[in-house]
Amino acid sequence: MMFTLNRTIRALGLVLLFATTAAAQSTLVTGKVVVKATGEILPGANITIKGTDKGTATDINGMFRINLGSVPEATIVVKFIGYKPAELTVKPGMSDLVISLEEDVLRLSEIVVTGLATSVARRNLANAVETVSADELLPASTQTLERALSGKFAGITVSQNTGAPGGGISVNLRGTSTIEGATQPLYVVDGVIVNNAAIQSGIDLVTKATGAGSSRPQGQPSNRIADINPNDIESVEVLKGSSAAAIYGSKATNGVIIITTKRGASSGTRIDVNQQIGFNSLLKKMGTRKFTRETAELQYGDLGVREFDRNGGQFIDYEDVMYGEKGLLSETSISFRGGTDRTRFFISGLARDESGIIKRTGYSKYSGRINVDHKFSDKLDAQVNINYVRSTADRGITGNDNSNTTFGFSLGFTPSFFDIRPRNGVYPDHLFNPSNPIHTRDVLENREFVNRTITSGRLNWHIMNSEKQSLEFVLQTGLDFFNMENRVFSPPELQSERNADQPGASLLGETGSTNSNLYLNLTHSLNIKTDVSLRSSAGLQYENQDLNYLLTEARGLIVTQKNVDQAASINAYQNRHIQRERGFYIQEELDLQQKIYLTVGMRGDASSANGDVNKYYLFPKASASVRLSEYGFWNSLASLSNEFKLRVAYGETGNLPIVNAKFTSLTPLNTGGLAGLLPSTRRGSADIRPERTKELEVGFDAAFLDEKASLNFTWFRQDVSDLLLFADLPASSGFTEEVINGGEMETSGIELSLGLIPIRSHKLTWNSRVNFYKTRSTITKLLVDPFNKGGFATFLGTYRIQEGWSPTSIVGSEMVELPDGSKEHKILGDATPDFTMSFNNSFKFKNAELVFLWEWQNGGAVINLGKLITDLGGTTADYDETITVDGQTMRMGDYRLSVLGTQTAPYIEDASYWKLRELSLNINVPKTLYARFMGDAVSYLKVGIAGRNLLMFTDYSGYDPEVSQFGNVAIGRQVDTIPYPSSRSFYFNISFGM
Amino acid sequence: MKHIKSTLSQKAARRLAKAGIALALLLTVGCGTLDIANPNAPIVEDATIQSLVTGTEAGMRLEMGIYLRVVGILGREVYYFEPADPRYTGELLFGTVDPGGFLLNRPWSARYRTIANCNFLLEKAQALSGEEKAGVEGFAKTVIAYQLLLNLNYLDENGIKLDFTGDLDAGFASKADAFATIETLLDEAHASLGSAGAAFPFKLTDGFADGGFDTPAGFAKFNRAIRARVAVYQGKYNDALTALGASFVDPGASLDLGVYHLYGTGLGDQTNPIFENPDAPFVKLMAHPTFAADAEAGDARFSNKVRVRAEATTFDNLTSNLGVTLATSSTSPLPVIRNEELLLLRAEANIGLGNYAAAEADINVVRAAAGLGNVTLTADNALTQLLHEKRYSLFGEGHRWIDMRRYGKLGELPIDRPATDNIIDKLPRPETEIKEGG
Repeated sequence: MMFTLNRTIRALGLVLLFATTAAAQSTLVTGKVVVKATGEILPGANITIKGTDKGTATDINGMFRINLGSVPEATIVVKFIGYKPAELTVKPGMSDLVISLEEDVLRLSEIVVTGLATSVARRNLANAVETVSADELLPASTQTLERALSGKFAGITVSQNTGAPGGGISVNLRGTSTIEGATQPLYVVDGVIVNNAAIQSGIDLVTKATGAGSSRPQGQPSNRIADINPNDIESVEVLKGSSAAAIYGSKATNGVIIITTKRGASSGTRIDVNQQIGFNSLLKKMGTRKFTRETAELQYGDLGVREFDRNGGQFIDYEDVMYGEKGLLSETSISFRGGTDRTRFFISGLARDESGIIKRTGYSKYSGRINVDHKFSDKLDAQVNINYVRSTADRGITGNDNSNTTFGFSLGFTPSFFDIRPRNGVYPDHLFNPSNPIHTRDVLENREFVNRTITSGRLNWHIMNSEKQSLEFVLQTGLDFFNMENRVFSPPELQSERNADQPGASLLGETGSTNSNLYLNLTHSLNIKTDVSLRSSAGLQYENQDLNYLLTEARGLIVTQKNVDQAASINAYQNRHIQRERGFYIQEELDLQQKIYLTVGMRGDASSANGDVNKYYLFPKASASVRLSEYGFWNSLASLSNEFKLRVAYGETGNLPIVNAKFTSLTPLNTGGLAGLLPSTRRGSADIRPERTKELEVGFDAAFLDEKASLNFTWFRQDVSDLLLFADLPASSGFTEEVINGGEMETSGIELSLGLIPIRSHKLTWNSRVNFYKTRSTITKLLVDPFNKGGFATFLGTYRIQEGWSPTSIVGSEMVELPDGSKEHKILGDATPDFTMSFNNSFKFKNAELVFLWEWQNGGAVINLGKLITDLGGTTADYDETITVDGQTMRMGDYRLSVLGTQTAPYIEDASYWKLRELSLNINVPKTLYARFMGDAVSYLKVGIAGRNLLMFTDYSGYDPEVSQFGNVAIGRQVDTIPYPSSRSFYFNISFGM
Repeated sequence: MKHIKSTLSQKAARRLAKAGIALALLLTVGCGTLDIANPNAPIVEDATIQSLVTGTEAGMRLEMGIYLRVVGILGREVYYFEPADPRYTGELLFGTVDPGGFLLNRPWSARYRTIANCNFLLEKAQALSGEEKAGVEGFAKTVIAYQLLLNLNYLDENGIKLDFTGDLDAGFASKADAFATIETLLDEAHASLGSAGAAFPFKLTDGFADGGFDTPAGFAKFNRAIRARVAVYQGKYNDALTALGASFVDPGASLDLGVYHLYGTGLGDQTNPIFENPDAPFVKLMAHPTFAADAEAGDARFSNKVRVRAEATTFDNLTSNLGVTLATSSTSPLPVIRNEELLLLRAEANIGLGNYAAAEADINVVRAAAGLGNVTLTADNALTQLLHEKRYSLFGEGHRWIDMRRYGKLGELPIDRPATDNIIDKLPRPETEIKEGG
């Protein structure tokens, strides 16, 4: 017995020190919990008496006291996130115990949620599931959650579509998995699937972006995961591929991001306050052409010369004028956590307000949360989480445009010698462009306003619990409701409106969205022998979505009035999205001596989006992990590597058909006061079914040199079948497309993560992690002809889906001749980078901590139509550089335009970059410095500086190679039509606890 | 005390657990079916004859802005200075039109989309009887023929699709076969209209009603007008004169009498796609400078259709100071076919048949309306004079390029930028209509 305990203690890395002997009669045990390596105290560590629900937590000084009651002896378990748990046997009356927890560098003890109601310790995990804790998530404050995930681990690509305040960010896990289907991961917050919809503002009715070559909405909207308050998050778990996410079934092809918010603790009430103040500024300028009298004439003729002379050939840097604001930002967050043995609470509030780098743009968010846990009895406990968010984003008018009103387009047509700045409050008419962007900036409004409530509840019923087996019922339910108002106001006095037939536009968008879900789970655990256990779980899922979008467009406004009913004409657009899913799952897990861990499972899903709504599509999974280092033969290697796990996992997931793909609908089209109907351009597909991704992942996790180094390696391969495609129909059929399950794709990749702790001492700890990620996709089968996707036209650069090619291949006018004499498009670039790496380092020196994260993307391409716009406007920075082609020397801008139509390559650019994503320096002010003034009231005081996207190194000539005119599309990202430029943000922060 | 508390909460626990299960069962039963109808749009089965007829009328207007611009640019009637899209001043003047581009595909698709609607109408008509059926058929087939003609104007010798199933193997019909089908459709429609009674079983908009073309008899005149255009295009001048005889050609009537696309600002309506505020500092649609250079002094057609601007606009090395004022507001109608064209079609047929005197009469009616004096036609000058009158009478209405092409005179069109520009005689077959490599 003693031997076993010793071994346990050693295995768990526990060091026990008896400082004094106990007083005999007391039933109390007291002590403190510290970090083994540094002796630092650990407030908030959990201490429970094994086999009971009794427990406590350490206070702010790391001290605890626990009452054992009448038992002569008990085992206590000490846990703290990021440390290996410790277990020890104590007797009543022991006092001043010092329990040292060893840092869990490999996080082997971390509990990872893998099923809908089950979790598993990382040491046994057969998938590369990533976990990001609150500290790692937010070294530097962020506007929206997704930005904070950038570079945190291998296998994720976070890229913004636009720099506009309020977001618009794509999260891609493990490469391309679809062409037309949903592209974003499923976000599950405390058990609720939250809506991440991107709602169009309607701004493209002002920019006419959809008027010419392209009919898809181009408002560059934000996506609604932006509403989550990052400060509320305890941890983020990322199920990257199908093998891990299979249990989420037909909506999980893009992975699942499981967010767990902070919960109360039964160790007295703790208050944390954080205040940040900082500013945003333009990250990079594109530059503009410097004119001479001669070039002004060449470019703009007589008008150019006249205006050049009139303004004395002055140079106005319009990037400074337009994007030169130092946008102030402030964020205040406060949280209270506490409770008793039975009831715990977490209450938080956030107020964030920031201004953009363009005047009259900005973002604000107010969020409040109450999380309550209550234990009704040993058998029944429940939690309720309520989150209210109110956010406002003023996004300006940027991106693609057919009316030359957006800032980027208009400035592209504004020569630097021409002054469009207001004089005595009067905005001069722009003579080179249909609108004056300074005027537009100062009066146009493009605002989105969101009210949102996310409520979730969970009920755990421990039906039976014995040494041998246990049975648990878990009910999870959630309701995510938001109301969003989009307000676009383009006043009639604007130059662009004045000349319209009905000057002035006012758009009012109202969106109501309700997502609800209910999960019922039953889990049975059976200990067959001491160290062999089986766990069976099964459950039912109900998921409902109901979204109603209504946009009213009013034109011909009465000068200052924004109400849509006070206009010369009105148009309305409505779109409803109702979708329901029903699912079930079963899962079986076998744990063999903590050496081998096997899982098999299956999910079945039926959805209203499928052609056959009653059919349950099945998504199986299976995985195994073996800890080789636990076997005898490893002993000879143990000095080199004390932990080595091999893992293999397989799983399938789906991606639901495009909304309403199964219907052939009629579109209303009225004329002469009569109501008419015309067939929609899309033919319905009555037998449409979900896309299916089958993923195999293989990898190992190893620790070396006494856990000073660790290496995680994963190789994955996804086979996507039944690819959802818009098959072009010959227009002579009356339709231009239909949705089919018409292709196959293969995506494979490797993820490598190397962790190092070169220095670990009481004074200095240096933690370093390098992530490497590479993925490649190939279209392996295509039932339709090769087709272009994304972009505006072939000669303007477009993506092309062709068998044997990467789906992110970019083509243009250039053709190549094949050996058989036929021609095909020449690949000019590939949007998928060759690889991405991130370098995350943290240095702890005494009371200071320095953290920085670099991200390096190598390769990838962008279709830079922003450059074409400025070429057409004659203002590109390199316009006057010369190029010699076939002995003829031409200006660069003239050259590019002259070959347009036969060569697209001049507008395809490399997207490689280095970015300093995060930098923070925090100092824990020693208590001695402030104790005199504040006594014990303040438990800690931290001050620091932090920055996000502080530096970028790239050859890309636009604002940022991270760009997507068409938002979160799978294929067709990285088309640049001059979005809101990216900004860097810099903060001072102060935080303290009470 | 503690014991009691614990019992209580265990009871509460059991109650709650039961409530939870009951709730779960309730939701299971009450969650509703997965078979949800499309909440956003009706399906074909729901449509009425009236809604499809009006949809067809509205569909005929779709993308006509692009069509008129393209045909106008190709015929060197207009420029379209679109800062946001270089294709109007590039592709269309350089000479290779993208078979996947919107300039070709959007009008092309819209025509077939309207045809699909007409085919729904023809299916629905099967459930009707007698005059009502004949009325629907007469309307639908006339529109199909007209839509095919517009696409044939675009592609000319490249032919068009006469198969509406979307079968890629069906191939393109030759220009001759296309004309034959259009003629047949128009003639069948004309026969149906003759037995459709006094009124249609549906209402047409004022685009037809204002000229009295909203009854089977009135609509038949529109049918014959189109039929006359089709005949002239093929050089079948006798057929043309016969058709014109049954059309609404009338030297005594307003030259603007005819059928129109209506535009409006009402819900679900469209505004006139070529209207621009003529006072704006920058307008996109401008007449080709030769339109001024070649105009006769005092030609009211010139002064009515363009406005000479104080300052010329230069864009992409093209320069013009002639703003187009064909549409006077965003709700101005656009003509489908009108009396002025019919008079000129009659003149053209007569010239083709050598009846110069008859042609001269019609041409002089048109000239008089423009405030110009009479001309005398001879075998030598007749065609040139006719093309001149058509150019000014039908400016911007989509005829110049087609007329010049029919007489092999595209080479006479002006070329502004000799280094890059070329004349296009037809648009390519759309990418989606042919098999890859086909």
